[in-house]
Amino acid sequence: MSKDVEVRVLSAAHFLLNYFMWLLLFLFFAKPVFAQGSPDLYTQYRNDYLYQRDQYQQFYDDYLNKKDIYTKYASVTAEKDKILAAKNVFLSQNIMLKSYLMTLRTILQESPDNQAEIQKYENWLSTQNQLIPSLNTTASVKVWSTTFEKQYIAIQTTLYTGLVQSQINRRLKTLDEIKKLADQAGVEWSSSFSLKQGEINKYFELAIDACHQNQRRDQFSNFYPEAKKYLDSADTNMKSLIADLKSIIIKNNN
Amino acid sequence: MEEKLYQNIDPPQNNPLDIKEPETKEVDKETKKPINKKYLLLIILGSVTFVLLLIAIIVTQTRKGNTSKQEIIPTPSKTMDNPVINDSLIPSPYQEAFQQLDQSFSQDPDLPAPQIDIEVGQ
Repeated sequence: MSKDVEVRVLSAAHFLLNYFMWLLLFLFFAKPVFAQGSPDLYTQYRNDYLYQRDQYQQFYDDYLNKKDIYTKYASVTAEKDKILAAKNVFLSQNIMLKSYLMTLRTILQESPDNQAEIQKYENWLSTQNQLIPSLNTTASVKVWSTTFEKQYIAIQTTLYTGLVQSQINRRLKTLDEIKKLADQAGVEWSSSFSLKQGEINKYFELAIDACHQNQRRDQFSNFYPEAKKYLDSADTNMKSLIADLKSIIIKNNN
Repeated sequence: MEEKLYQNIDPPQNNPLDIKEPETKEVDKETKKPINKKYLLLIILGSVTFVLLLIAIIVTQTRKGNTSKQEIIPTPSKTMDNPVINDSLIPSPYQEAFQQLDQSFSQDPDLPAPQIDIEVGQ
């Protein structure tokens, strides 16, 4: 009697896990119907990413739990559960990554090269999510995990490069605004302004160079903090430029 | 002919029972005159004075070289804070534009990068 109940519970659990896996797969292919170029597109995609991040965390916690059970009992059922949980983690992590990349793409309108690179990895993640349901053994799960680990270095490089580029684009816009304002106020773009502008551009180049540093085959070397340091230095110069412009405009109007 | 008495006496170095330490050649202290302490002190003080003089000349020359290269107007350091400007002094047509510029510095995308455990399944 108790064995019968146990079998029923296990089959119900299997059904539920399969159900969620297929649901995830369905959600992955369901494209959002946001209009391209909408000003709120970034916010919507970002919210979707944050939701997918929470989902990933839940599946990851479930995987850790299943892994722990398998380590304790090493039964066939526990192994199957662990494989299923791992597959759910893979699916949800790919969905989360894709939603992150999509969000990033919306703020890189001025950088088509970065957008194309990001799109390439979005497609790769979609393809992988078609393959994941067919992983049924521990060995196949391990092989896929190893493949992903290698590819994830390239994904992270693209991701952080995109993030840095988006921040440079934002600063370039600010620089343009400063120039326009100076022009509007009749302030000559003097050599000291040009000098500071040159400094700012130099920091942008250094930030881009930091993104292009060679990566190891087995481990991602995060260049983002270094690039951010250069962007902060560019900000300092830009603030100084704004302060100078303010002073000149005040002086001219007195 | 007078008999030489020492002829029958064994030379001491040939006597195996009489082992003597080999004589070390001592430096004849009388031939090496010790330097007078006063002179020694004078030499040491002279050397120190000469070295200090040499250092002083080098430092002076270096300082002179640096001052000639220095710009008359000091350039602000990169870490120096920008002067605080009272925004109310800005003419009203430009105030809004400057406000937007100041706000733009806090507009970096708040997009925390995903954290993934790549060990899953391994």
